[in-house]
Amino acid sequence: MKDLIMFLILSVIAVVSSLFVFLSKNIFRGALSLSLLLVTMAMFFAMLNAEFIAAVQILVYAGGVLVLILFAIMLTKEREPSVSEVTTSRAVALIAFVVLSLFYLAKHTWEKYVPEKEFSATGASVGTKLFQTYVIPFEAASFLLLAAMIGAIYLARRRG
Amino acid sequence: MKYNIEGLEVEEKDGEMILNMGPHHPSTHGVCRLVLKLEGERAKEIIPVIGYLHRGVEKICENRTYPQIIPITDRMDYLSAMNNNLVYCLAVEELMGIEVPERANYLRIIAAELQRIASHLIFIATFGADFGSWTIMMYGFREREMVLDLLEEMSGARFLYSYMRIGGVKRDVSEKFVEQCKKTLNIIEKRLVDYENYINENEILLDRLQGVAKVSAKEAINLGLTGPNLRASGVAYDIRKVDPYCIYDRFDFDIVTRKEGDVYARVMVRIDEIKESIRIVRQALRELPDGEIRAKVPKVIKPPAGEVYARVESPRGELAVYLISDGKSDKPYRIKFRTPAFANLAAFPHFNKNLLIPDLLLSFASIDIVMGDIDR
Amino acid sequence: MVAELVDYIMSNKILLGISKGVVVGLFIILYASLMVLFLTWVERKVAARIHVRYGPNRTGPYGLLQPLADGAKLIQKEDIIPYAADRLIFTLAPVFAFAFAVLPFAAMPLADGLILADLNVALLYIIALASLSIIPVIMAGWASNNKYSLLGAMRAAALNLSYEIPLVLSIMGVVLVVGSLNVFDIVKYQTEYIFGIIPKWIIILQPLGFFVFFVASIAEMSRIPFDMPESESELIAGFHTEYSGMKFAMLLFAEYIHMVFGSMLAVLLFFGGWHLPGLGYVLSFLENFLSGFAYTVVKWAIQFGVIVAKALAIMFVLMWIRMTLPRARLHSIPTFYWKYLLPLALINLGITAVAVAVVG
Repeated sequence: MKDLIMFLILSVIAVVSSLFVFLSKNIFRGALSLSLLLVTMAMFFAMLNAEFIAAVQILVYAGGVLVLILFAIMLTKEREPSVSEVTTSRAVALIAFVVLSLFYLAKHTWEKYVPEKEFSATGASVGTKLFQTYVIPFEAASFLLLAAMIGAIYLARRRG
Repeated sequence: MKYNIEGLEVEEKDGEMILNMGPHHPSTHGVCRLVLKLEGERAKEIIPVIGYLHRGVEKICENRTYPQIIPITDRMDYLSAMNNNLVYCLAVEELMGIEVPERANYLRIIAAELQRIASHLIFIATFGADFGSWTIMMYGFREREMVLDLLEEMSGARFLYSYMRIGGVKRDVSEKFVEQCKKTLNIIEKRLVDYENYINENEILLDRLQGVAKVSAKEAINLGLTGPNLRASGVAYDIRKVDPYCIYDRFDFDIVTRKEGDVYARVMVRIDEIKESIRIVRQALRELPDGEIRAKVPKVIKPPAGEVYARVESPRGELAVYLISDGKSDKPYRIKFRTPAFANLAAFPHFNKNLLIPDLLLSFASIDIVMGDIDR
Repeated sequence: MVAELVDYIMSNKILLGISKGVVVGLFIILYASLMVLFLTWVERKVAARIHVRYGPNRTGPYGLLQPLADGAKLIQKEDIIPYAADRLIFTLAPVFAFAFAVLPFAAMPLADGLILADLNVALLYIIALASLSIIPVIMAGWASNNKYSLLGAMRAAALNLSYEIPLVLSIMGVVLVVGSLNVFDIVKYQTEYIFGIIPKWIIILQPLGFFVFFVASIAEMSRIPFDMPESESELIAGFHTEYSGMKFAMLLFAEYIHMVFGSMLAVLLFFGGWHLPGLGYVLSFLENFLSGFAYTVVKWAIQFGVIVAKALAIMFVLMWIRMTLPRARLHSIPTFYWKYLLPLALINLGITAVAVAVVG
């Protein structure tokens, strides 16, 4: 009962804030509602007794959102952007999005995703998974991120 | 976007930001306004805007009799009122050919040098506030308070003294003053060591001061810098030595110079100048002769027609007055002050390009401006 | 009536949980606020003594009521929202600032067994919430629509990106030594003795880690020498330039709570928490006279007192630093954190890992 109430409240917040992320014309507010969404996600994790992942979610995304906001401030000049027009590309994108999500919903809605029963997300178990079972994908991902970072620095350097 | 700043067109391009610093800003030392064109926090362009404290001192002086002008000069550079008084009195005396008595000359030098100490102490104090150390601020004001006590003992006022009179000084000093003065100087000399240690033994501070806003000797001369700012670039130019007024030629003191020309040098020059001033005051106190404190001057001061240019070394640099008398009235025909802070501020934008805001403000503090002196 | 209500609440599990949360939450807010009020007074007094002044001495004995007078003044102030500001975010920023500052205390034990939420990953939770505290600062800076505020917020972001990683890495050293993210475990670890005499406080095992932690947390509290976000002589007041009245008070509160938080964390992680050599004898002596609940309360009070005393000692050092050092140079800060502090933290972590692996 308690969990259900909590879940409903959090879901409403999550859905509303995620809608706001792309409906908001103000990019700063959009980034802030994204951070709200991420915090509610962390709370979902906490409700599933995955406190470790909840804390990591906040820790990682707090920094991520911060950088996002910085980009929002640095790359946009006008505080109140002009009303966006409906262009062909946007219309196509919207239609594609709706159609694809309908397909997805039709196919997957009633499937049940059963979590790994024996896996509890403590620091030790997550560490074991990351650094033993999935060490190669993990390293590959971090290598990719490093490459992206170096590229970003190079691009920023050349501009400045 | 284009902005019009006091008739000057400034364009804000993409990635730039026009920042209006002042006239109400904690670090612009009064009501100076700096318009900065920033790229990030780097100032690409600096436009000082002045005039917020303009009272029309020079015009007011044309409508006052000669003795009435003395209190007005107090209000120009209010941190070194004694020097303002002195330069004006020197000009009038030169015009009228008045010989100032010995004792008055000594008292004038004591007053002017004590004033220099007080002014430099205020410089250190406000400079401390600018780099975020309120302790230095309090220490500076504590020492200055003792100097102000001395000046009050001399003149009866703590801030705007009107101590110098045409032909001499206002009041005589007692034996008690001489003793008190010696004691205070000893204390200040001891405490100056603390200031030096604070600056020289603090890595963080040295990192902030050294190498920031450098001015070479040639540049400093071309920009018209005077006073400690010029001497910090290694030019040994001091009016007290190159064109001695009063009886400065009798005193034994050195011109303090530094080679670096950066903010650090400008601070250290002022600390060392306090030491030289202490030396001068000590000599003056030792040799202080008895006698009159004011020459015989006519009741109504009406100088003969002519013009005169008198200059002194104020704590901020070369302070000069240009005075024209038509010989008919008891009011000056025209009076013009050449104030050091004005020239220093005019030079400021030229050697501070491409500095970050914190460095820029430290450099701004280091040229030691007083808005009353600039706007007049 | 009241008894019936209490009975009803006790019988209902959800209500009991909520009311327990509310009571302890209120206690934590009250505790943090009182601590802040006291701290502002202490800071003024300490600053005054270092400045060779007297400090507040008109309001009550030793000026102790000065914080209340300040509070009364701030409440009376007009609440100004600039015309061009983003009203919603401008209003929300102080609320979030306060909330994010108080929330970490939920997972911080105040005494042995006295805690709002005993989490397994308490330390991670604390760090995570502390890292959120940058967002209200940027909100305030951006929403004010003032160039100084914006510059302050950007500086805060730059500073945040610099100190965060060394801070977390230095805490990881402690976690490696103890082998747990639970704060109770960490304190329990420190109640033992080396050679039977020296208390096993982690500062003795991790001096380098503590150094990194301390320097990084000074930046986290944005105090001199790392107070760029609000350096008053450069950016007027940084991100809270446009704030007045209670909104300003809340931002200020949040900042002081960060100071309390930082020093509490230092005490729990490095200075043995509520442990004090010899305190165990006193407690077992007291246990002979008191029993059950009374003993627990007295024990909690004593341990809480020990933590507060230690935290105050650290805060005194912080104030001392603030009054002694000048503000550091803006572009030396990222250099310092990334080039010197981060490698130091990594070295510390490496040495600790090897030592833990060897010793077992």
